[in-house]
Amino acid sequence: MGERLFGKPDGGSGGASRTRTGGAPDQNRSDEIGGGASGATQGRTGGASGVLDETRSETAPRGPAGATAAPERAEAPRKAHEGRDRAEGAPASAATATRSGILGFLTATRGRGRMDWTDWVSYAYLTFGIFLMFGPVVWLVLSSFKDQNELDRFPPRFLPYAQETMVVDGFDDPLPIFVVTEGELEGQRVGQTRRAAGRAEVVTQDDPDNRIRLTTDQITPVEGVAFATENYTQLFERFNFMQFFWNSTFITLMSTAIMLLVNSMAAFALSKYQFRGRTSVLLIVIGTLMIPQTVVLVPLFLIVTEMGMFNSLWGVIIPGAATPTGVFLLRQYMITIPDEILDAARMDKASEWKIFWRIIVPLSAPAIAVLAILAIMWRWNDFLWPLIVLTRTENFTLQLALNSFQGELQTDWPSLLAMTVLTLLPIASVFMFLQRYIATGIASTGGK
Amino acid sequence: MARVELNRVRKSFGDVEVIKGIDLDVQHGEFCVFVGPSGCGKSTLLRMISGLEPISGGDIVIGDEVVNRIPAADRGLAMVFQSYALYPHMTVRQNLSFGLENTQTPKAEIRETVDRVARMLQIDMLLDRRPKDLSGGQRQRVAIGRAVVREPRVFLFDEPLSNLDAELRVDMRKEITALHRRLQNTMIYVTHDQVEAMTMADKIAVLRQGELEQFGRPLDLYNRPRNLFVAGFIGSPKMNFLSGRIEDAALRLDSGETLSLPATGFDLSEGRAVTLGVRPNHLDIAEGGPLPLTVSSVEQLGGESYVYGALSDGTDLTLHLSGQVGAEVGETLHIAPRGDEIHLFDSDTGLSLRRD
Repeated sequence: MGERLFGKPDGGSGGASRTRTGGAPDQNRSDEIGGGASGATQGRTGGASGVLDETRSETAPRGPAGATAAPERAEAPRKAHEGRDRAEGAPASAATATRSGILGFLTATRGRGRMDWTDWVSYAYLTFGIFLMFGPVVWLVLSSFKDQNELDRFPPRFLPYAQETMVVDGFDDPLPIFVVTEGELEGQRVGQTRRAAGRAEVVTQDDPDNRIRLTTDQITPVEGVAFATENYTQLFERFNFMQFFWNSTFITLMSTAIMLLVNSMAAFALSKYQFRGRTSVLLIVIGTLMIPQTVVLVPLFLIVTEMGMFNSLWGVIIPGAATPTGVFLLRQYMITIPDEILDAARMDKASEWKIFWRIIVPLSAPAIAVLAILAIMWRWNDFLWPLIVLTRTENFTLQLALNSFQGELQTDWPSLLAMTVLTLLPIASVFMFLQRYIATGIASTGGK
Repeated sequence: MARVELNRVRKSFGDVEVIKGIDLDVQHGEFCVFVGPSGCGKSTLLRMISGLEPISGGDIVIGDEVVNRIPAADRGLAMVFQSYALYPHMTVRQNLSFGLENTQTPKAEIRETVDRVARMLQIDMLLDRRPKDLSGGQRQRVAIGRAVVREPRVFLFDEPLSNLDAELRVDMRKEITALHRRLQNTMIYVTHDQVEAMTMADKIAVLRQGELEQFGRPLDLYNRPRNLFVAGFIGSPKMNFLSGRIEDAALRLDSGETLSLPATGFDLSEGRAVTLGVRPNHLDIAEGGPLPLTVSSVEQLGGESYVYGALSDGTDLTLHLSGQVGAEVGETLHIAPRGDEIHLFDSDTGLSLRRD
C-alpha cells in the first residue's frame, strides 16, 4: 500500500524536474552559439568555457582571424548537443557548414586551428597508410592501361604513355612521331618509316615522298598519355571472358547461398537447442579449423571425383558449403538473441522452422551479412580448389583464367593486368556496398 | 471452461528439486497470482504450465485435458514475459499478427482483430512503429496485446510489471485488472511483489522453495496466515514478530513482559514456545500498555505515521498509526496490541496456532 502512496508525488516531481533541467542547457546553448557566430562578442559565453575563450581572444587577433575562430567554437556546443533543433542556431550552422563535411573531417586538428605535433605525426602516418594501401591498386589500374612496350620499359613510369602517331599519305599504317633534335630539320615533327642499325628513315607530313635518313640519336620520340583500352577490349574478343565471369559468379553466388543456409541452421541448433553432445559437436566443428586445407585436399578430391563432380562447377560449390568459421561466427551472434523471444514465438504457435525463418534469420541479419561478405570474398578469390577440380577451359573461373595468362615462357601482361582489374571490381563493389553491415554487425555483437 | 489444475506437479533440474509437488486448482475466470521471494520456483511453475518447461512428475490439467505431453503451442495459452519479448524486427502490427498468422487466420480477420485489440489497449497509433521506438509502458501494452489477440484459454503473466517505473506500474496494475474483468478469462500472474498480489488477485498462491505455503483469497491470507512465512510475506510493512512462551494462559515474552491472550481461538498448551505476530497497524500507543518501545525513528506522512523502535531485548517493532503522532526519537512509548488482532505461531514448526 505504501508504494501506491509514494508513487504519485514521486513520479510527478521527477517529471517536473526533468523538464526544468531539460530547458536549461538549451538556453545556454543558444547563447553560446549566438556568441560564437557573431565572433566579435567572445566574452558573452558564460560558464567554464568562458575562461578558455578569454585567453584565446588575447592570442587570436581580432578581425578576420577572429571570425575564422568563431565557427570552431560554435561547433563544440553543437556537437555536444548532437545538433538538436537546428533552426535555432541558423547563422551559426551556416558558419559551421564550411568546417563540417568531408573537408572539415579531413583537415581536423587536435589543437584549435593550429597543427599540433600529434597532428603532424598522425597525418604523416595516415598518408603513409594510404600510400601503402592504395599504391599497389593504383599502380595496377594504371598498368592495365599500358601496352606491352610500355610495360617492358625500364625504369617504369607511373602514367601509361604511348608514342604519338600520325597518318601520312602513302603509308597504310600510322607512323610514330619523332622530333628532330639536331641538323637542318631541328624542331620538326617527323614520322619514322623504318629503323635499323642506328639509322632511321623519316618523312615529314608535308612531303611524304622525300625519305630522309637520320641517325637515331638525332631524333627523340614524342610521347603522350594514352590509355591502351585495347587491353580490355581484347579480353572480350580474343578470350571468353564472359564465360569465366559467369563461372565465377555462379560459383560465388551458389556457394554463398548454400553456405549461409547450412551454417545458419547449424548455428541455430548449436546456440538455441539443448541436446546431449552439443558441446562436443561444437568442439568438433571448431576443431576442424585446425586442419589445414592441404591435408584434406587429396581425400576431398577423391570424394568429389567419386561423386562425379570432377570438372563440374558443383564440385567447387559443395565442398565449401559448410565452414566452421561461419558456424562459429553465427552461433556466437545467435546466442545473444534472448530465449524469451523464441519462447514467445512458441507460445504464438510458431513451428521451429518458422521460428528459424521469421525470428532467428532476421535478427541475425548483421552477422549473416558479415558472413556473406566473407563468403563472397573467399569463393571469388578461391584458387587452389578450383584449380584442382576444374581442368577444362570452359569451366575456368576468373582466377584460373588469370593463371592461364601466365605461361612458362611468356606472360601476357596486358591481358593479365586488365583481367585482374576486372576481377577486382565486383569484389570491391560488394565490399563497398556491404561494408556498413560489417561495422554494424561487429558493433551489435558487442552490446545488447 | 478453462480450469487449471495441478496435481503433485514436480520439477527437478538434475538432482535439485525446484518444485516439490504442488497441488493447485484455479477455477475458470479466476485471477490467480503466484507470489514468493525470488528463487521460490514461481516462474518455473508458470513455464511448466505454459509447456515451455517439461515437468518431472505429476499432472497438469487445463480445461478437462491432461496436457503433460502437449507442446506449448497447442495448449491454447498466451504468455506475457518479463522482458516483453517483442520481436524487435517487426512492427507492432506484425508483432500482434504473428500468432494469428501461425493459426492460418484469414488476413482480413487478422487485421480486424489486431485493430480492435490495439484500440482497446490504446496502442492503435503505434501500429507501424518498431518495439525499440516504444516506451516501457507501450511495450508492455503490446506484449499484453499480443496475448489478447490470440484469445487464449488462459493468460500467463511472468512478472510483467517488474521493468516499469513505480508510477506506471500502478497504472498498468489497474489496467490488467480491468482487462481481466472485461475478458472474464482465467489468468495466472507471477510476481514477487505482494502489493501486486494483494491488489490484483482473486486467489493468491504463496510459494517458498518449491512448495505451496498457502493458497486462498487475498484477505484470507492477510487475516488468517497459515504459517510464519505467509504472515511475514503478506502485508506491508511487515508483520511484527515477538517470541515468547505460554505461561498461565498468558504470553511471557523473551524481553520479560507479559501479555494476556484471548481465551479462545488459539491452541494454547502450557510451556509451548510461540511467536506472536502483530501487524504494525494493529498496535496502539496506550497509557500503561504492556510493551515499552524505545523509538528509533519516526516517519510522518501527514495522513499516517510510522514509528520504528525496539523492545528492551532489542526486538525491532514497527507501528503504523493513522493521523499524526507526537513521538520523539529516543522516547519510550507504551504500546499494546489492539484487541484480538494478533496471530500466534508455534515457534518450532512455524504453523499458526489458530483453531479453525
